[in-house]
Amino acid sequence: MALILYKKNDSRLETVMSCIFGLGVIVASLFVIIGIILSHHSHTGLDLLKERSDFIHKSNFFRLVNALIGGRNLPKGPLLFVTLGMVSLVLTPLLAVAASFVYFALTKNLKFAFITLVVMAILITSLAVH
Amino acid sequence: MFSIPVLILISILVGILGSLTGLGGASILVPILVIFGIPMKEAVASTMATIIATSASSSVFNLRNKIANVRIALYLEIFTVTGAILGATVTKVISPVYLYFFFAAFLLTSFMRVGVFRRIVLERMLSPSKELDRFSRFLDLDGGYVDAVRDRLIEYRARNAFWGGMGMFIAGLAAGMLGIGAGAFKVTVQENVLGLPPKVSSATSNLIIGMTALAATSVYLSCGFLNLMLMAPMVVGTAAGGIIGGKLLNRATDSFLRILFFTVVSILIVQMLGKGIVSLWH
Repeated sequence: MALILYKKNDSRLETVMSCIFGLGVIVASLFVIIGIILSHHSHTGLDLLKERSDFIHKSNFFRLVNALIGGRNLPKGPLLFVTLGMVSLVLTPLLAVAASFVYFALTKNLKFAFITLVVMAILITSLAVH
Repeated sequence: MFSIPVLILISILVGILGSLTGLGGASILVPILVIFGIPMKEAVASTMATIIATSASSSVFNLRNKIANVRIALYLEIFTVTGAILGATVTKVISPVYLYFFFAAFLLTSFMRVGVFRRIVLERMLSPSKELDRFSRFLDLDGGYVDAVRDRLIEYRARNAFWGGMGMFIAGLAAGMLGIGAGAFKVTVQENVLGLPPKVSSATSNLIIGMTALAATSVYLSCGFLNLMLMAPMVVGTAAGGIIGGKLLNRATDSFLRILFFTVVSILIVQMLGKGIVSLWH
């Protein structure tokens, strides 16, 4: 009852963010588990110290996403699924921040809409520039 | 043989330990990967993605229970993300030898919350002012949650917002450089500088570390340090271990948790210092 009465808790935003985090973890874990299972059947096997090319060499995150959507220069086999898992994981907090911005903008809380916009700008710049 | 099943098992154990001690998974995993012969920079980069997984899974419940404060997290995020990007950029260019020593030094800050250090430094020197400063009043960083144990509404208001932000910048810098969440340091800043209740500090810190890790992951991704097949078993293992640890936490006694915490951190410090000294020797 006391919780309902507490006016400053952003209940709707918390519910939406909780759902985004939950879905993100489930989707990412599923992709990663499929990648591990496929890796067991591939020629590289399960040894992590063998010489292998499991590193992503893309100039930035958005180019990697673009390549995944366009189907160009993609990693093959198990690595494709692990890459999809990694991309889902990275997108999860970003989506949560985006949802916060929409919430604060809709509720006309300009102070926190601005703070969220700054956080989002730093995160997107970091993903785009590096 | 250092294989995927072995790393999944290690990650489950680390997830349980990290959840019980409050250290998170990455600060324990990086030294273990180094023992198995994984290069320091690769170990740091690959554990970053596991931090996002741990943060997201714990935030599901913390947000639902209204313990994590989104407004405080977003304000502090400006500082931690900036620090993390700077830290990850520094790691790209400096020798790994310095990282071993910096890692050991940063693990020492885990002792900040306990014993003599807490009484002398935090409570006497860094205890937050009772007065609400103008900047904190402007930000209006308050909140409330129902404490299940005490069955009552706990209301709070953050103070010293500027200095809290500066503390979080340092936490972000260390997180970006070392591939860890720096959760212990973040909780200390939130409790002792911002004056937040312990549960709110832990839950908000968990929410923040995922976004901090995201920023640092982008830097490591671009420079090719991110080993996907190393990251994959750790994501699955730490997520599972975190859930098991969360369930065990309520059954463990405080003294057991304290002994476990000191033992794990001490072993990690000795191990990283040893690795650093050996690297300097060669």
